[in-house]
Amino acid sequence: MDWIVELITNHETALTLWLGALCTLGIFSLLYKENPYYRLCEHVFIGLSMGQGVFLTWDNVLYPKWWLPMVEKGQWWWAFGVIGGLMFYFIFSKKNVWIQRLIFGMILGLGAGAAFLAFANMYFPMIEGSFKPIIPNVWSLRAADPGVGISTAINNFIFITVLITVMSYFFFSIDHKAKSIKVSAGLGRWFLMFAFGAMFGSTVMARMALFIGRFDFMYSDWAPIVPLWFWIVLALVLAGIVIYFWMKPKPPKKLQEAVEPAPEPVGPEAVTESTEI
Amino acid sequence: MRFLMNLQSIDRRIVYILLVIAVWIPLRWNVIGIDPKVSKEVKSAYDTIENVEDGKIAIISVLWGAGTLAENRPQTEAIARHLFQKGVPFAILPWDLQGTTLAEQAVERIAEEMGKKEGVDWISLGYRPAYIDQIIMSMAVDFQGTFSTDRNGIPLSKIPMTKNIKSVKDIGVVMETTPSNTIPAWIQFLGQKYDVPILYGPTAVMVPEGYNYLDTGQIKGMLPGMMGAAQYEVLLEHRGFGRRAADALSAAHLLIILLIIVGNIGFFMARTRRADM
Repeated sequence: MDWIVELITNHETALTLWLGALCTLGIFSLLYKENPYYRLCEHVFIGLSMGQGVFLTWDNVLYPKWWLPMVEKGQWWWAFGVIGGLMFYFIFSKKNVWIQRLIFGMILGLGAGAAFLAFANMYFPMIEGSFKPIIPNVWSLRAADPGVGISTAINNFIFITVLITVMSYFFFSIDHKAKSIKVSAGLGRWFLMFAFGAMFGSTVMARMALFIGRFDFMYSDWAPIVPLWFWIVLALVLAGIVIYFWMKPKPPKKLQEAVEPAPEPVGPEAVTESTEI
Repeated sequence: MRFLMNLQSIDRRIVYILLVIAVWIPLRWNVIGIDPKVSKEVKSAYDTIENVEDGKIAIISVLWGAGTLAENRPQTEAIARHLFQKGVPFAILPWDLQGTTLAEQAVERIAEEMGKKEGVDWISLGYRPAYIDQIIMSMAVDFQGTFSTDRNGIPLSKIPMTKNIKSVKDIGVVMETTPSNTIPAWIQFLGQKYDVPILYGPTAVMVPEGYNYLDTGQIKGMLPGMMGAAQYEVLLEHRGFGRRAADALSAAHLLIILLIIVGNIGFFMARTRRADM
């Protein structure tokens, strides 16, 4: 066993990089097709996260905060924490389910109390912030400080227009047949679409950033330590996989339908089928 | 005509290969080489840290894990680097299992590079299960009692950096790096209540929501995704991952815009063909 420890110690960085790279390749292999290599990496990741979670929860939280004070400092009252924790498990008992309600009730009460404070601190400043001046008092195109310049007034006007129209879109107490509310709600819908577009653009940016992060690791950290023969073998294996799937004869249409079930019907057909008993 | 029609159904694997090439070229040759323009929210975050009073500490809240490492780690590194430069001691407060190790490793590396010492210039409070509301409320009134020890089990009262830190009055700024919607907890229970400046480091997906808090002044600055980290690196005059990856991100965006145009050309060609038939 010592030689294994020595090997790991001597090649710690290289091993870390290789494991990271192989797992990255495994996860990215899903982009081509679902495969066992991807599944293996996925399960390794879940297992590692769970193991690390158990260790860190004990090492950083339970041991110093609960076990040590209780066992070594004589703070015996921490033992009641176990009773509180065990009370949650009575959710599985039909007869004694009331026990778990006590602890859940306590937590809900604490949460509700904090929610009042949270609401006031969160939304009152937002409501206050939505009252913005729309008439300039400094006749300059640039933002004025102090005062409200023309550009600030225009920005504020756009802000208030968007605020009112979007709120009118979500105002369901009256029918949206009157022309005024119809136009306002319609505009609100358009503004919402712009916002969703911006959010989608941000999401694409986030996904690209994550890919670049992984790619940079592969390219800047791992690739420099990889020997040439590995690249040749990797290229041959990848080419082999692509050629295999390319050349693989496709099953006849009828057989393919038997292997892959037909997609579930949508629209009026689905409604008819699902309502038939 | 047929070729143009096929543009709307390019095989996704070809798109992936194009993406790899688009990302690889800027990372390899730095062909674009333009630094991102620093936005108002990033400059505001920078200024907030510049103005932290002497004797106060900063808190870097870490809620990210391996999944968003490419976006949140450069943000964490940029802020840590600035705090080290400015001589503001800071505590890492990790809520995520993987983030605990990843953030600590990142800060250890920068500390070693800049000759900073754990316990004097920075500490890690160790992993905390994410009951964020309760912990924030508690640390605001009793910092020492809430955390009691650092990640190494050393009491905070014996660590030079934290021995005088008693409550929220000793906290100069809080930076929240997160891929989740956790910023409201800091705003509700610390920022609004005790007037502590809050900075926000979200992933790009969460950025649109962050502008609401920025507009109302509930947060003092924001580093929007990886681009935010890149802009912060420009202010620090340091070339880290954010600045290196910014070009690759731009190239990836250009490719996506191109593919959208190409796909639409294919769509219109197919529609014209159908109309002619």
